[in-house]
Amino acid sequence: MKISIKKEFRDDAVTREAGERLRKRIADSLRAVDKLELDFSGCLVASTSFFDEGIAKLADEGLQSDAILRSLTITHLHPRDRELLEDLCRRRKLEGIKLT
Amino acid sequence: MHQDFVLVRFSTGFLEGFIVLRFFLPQQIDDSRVDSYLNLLQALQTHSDIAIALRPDTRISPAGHSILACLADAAFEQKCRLRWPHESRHAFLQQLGAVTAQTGGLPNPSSYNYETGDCVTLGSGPTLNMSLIEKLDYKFRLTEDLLFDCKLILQELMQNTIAHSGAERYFIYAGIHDKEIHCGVLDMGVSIPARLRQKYDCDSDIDYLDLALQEGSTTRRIRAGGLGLFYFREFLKRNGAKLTIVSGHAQIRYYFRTRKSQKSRLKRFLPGTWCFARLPLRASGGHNENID
Repeated sequence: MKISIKKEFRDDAVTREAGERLRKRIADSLRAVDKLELDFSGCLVASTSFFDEGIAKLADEGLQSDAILRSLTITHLHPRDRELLEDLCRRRKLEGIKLT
Repeated sequence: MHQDFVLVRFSTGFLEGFIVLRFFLPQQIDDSRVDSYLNLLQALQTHSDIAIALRPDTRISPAGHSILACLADAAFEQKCRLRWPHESRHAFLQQLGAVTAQTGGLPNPSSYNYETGDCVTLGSGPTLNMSLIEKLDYKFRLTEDLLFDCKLILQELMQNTIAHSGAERYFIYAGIHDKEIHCGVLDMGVSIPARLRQKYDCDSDIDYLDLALQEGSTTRRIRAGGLGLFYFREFLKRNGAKLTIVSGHAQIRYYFRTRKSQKSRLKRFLPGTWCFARLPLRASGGHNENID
């Protein structure tokens, strides 16, 4: 299953509110499928709020960290977005997410 | 002693006793000194008519347009008539004169929108305004890294203003000036110290601004955050850039290239938050043609 950030968050891929919607979407999807891809093709997010709320805080959804790490792949991140997301995940102790 | 203003008494047979305060703006209208602007804000509360005067060779930086927009807006709210100099060569001051001349209450924030080849200033209501973010992609031909940093900074500052200031409007700007890219967000809402005082107990407004720049400090009760201003500072630090925050009774300035900082209490209160960033332009694989 794939979530295209550019399509599904075209109006807002910046705010914490949008990040919360993303996190809920990811959590609901991971409860239904084994593999989930977040596709950031064509996006430059440059938002700590969106990444922090949307991805780094996934463990707050009651999912086990290893389940998240096993099932979730994040693709086509801009290098700077990747660096930012890695830093945020490190701060939230969610390390090891697959970023390709 | 530097004086910002001169009292001018108009005296005609009909207008005997009518006093207009004449207020001098600094020669450099930018974020380097804010005392004059705060003096003017104070004067707006006690005078109904103020004539703005310019010093010779006045320059307005990208930040200066947003500062002037805040002052013009504050004048409307205080019901003080600001007379902008008609003879000014600065198109933005002429624009402010036209905005001021309109009647009917507070002008639409987009009335202050202003753009030249080197800078953009936008006024916005309390929602995310992505227009300037989109312009960054093509207007200034920044390196990829600088583009990312400016986008992140502006998006974080906008979100802070929208989420915490309660202001009905804010001003966002970006522009090339003296081999730097300047960008920032200004609002006249609840100040950072006033906001943080709801949750934290610090000794001074300087301490509150310091706290705001630290990781994890937030007034949110439900959705934890507190990273926006932290990353604002971190990205400016990694660029050897300059950071200025003015809010409440305090201002903090970081000069990251020289590793110096200034933290001071303001003589006058700023009812709002002004965040300014100045990042040095630098060549990447392709030279940035905006460098003089």
